[in-house]
Amino acid sequence: MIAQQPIHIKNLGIQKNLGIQDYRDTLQAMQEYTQTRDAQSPDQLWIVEHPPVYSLGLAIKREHLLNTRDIPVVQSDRGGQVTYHGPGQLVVYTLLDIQRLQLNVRQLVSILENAMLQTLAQYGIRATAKPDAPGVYVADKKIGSIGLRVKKGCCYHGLSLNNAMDLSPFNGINTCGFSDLEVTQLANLGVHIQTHELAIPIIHAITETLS
Amino acid sequence: MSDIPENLKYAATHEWVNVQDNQSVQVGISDFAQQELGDLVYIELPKIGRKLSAGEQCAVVESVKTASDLYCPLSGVVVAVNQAVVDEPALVNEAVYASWLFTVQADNLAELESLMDAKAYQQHIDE
Repeated sequence: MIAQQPIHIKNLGIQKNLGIQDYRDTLQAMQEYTQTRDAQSPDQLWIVEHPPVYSLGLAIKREHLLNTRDIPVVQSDRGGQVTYHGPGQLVVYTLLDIQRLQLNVRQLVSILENAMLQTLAQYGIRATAKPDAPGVYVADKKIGSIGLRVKKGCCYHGLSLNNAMDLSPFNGINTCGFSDLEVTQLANLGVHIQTHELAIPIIHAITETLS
Repeated sequence: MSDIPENLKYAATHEWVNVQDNQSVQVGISDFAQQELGDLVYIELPKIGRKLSAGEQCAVVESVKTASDLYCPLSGVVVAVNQAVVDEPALVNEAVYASWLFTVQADNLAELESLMDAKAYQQHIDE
């Protein structure tokens, strides 16, 4: 991992802007961090983009893979079904001791959804969350996704928010297990910003809630 | 408020155990756990015949896009799994103490001593 200098934020530990990172390497690094952390280990937020890849949730039904062409497909250990990651999509991995933070998984998912909703609102985009299908939607099109794993009271994986990417690979899958779910991104909604800049309000919203 | 039946024992990681005949022990998750997790959509259980140590990660439940690990409260061999909850995970939310997940033939029932009774478990979740 090509980690830049970690930045300490208040009580929340460490934020790392890792740039473009291989999906498998990042998954392995998250698993290692979670397996080896103890009661004193800091919580961390990792900001990344991935080269094109489909990631599969633990309970994936293979029928949701329609035509993945030459894009790699990686079995992951998170919740959720299948999704696509690529350059221009912001990914924030949340490596948190949720037991120490006294959060349950439903509260954690709400925090991540709200961080995306607040951020989109700052750019004038009205988005909503759906109680029966976690994630963030603009006019029923999905813009932000969540997938998490919890081991011994600590979570990893996190959220992804579509910014300015090639959305066509989403046509190769039933996104999140829904055959008719369309996706959108900030660039299609008239907002043009750099993906690493989009991380700033998201991180701010998450850290404000947790600290 | 969580329902905590008096006749069960509980692990700190929120599993319940119910001792049957012949040292076989049913394992499920507590009412507190199912409330914290929300609606379950997927359950992955250990294979029959698998040997487990007390505290070993052995199953996964998924809710709100989150896959959470479960741990085996006692050492032993898995002798049965509840296919009904695999087919319909919502059963666990509907009737959490009727919806056992798997049964372990315990190596040593003395390990039950390290688990909590209902009163101690109530204190544990109040902390």
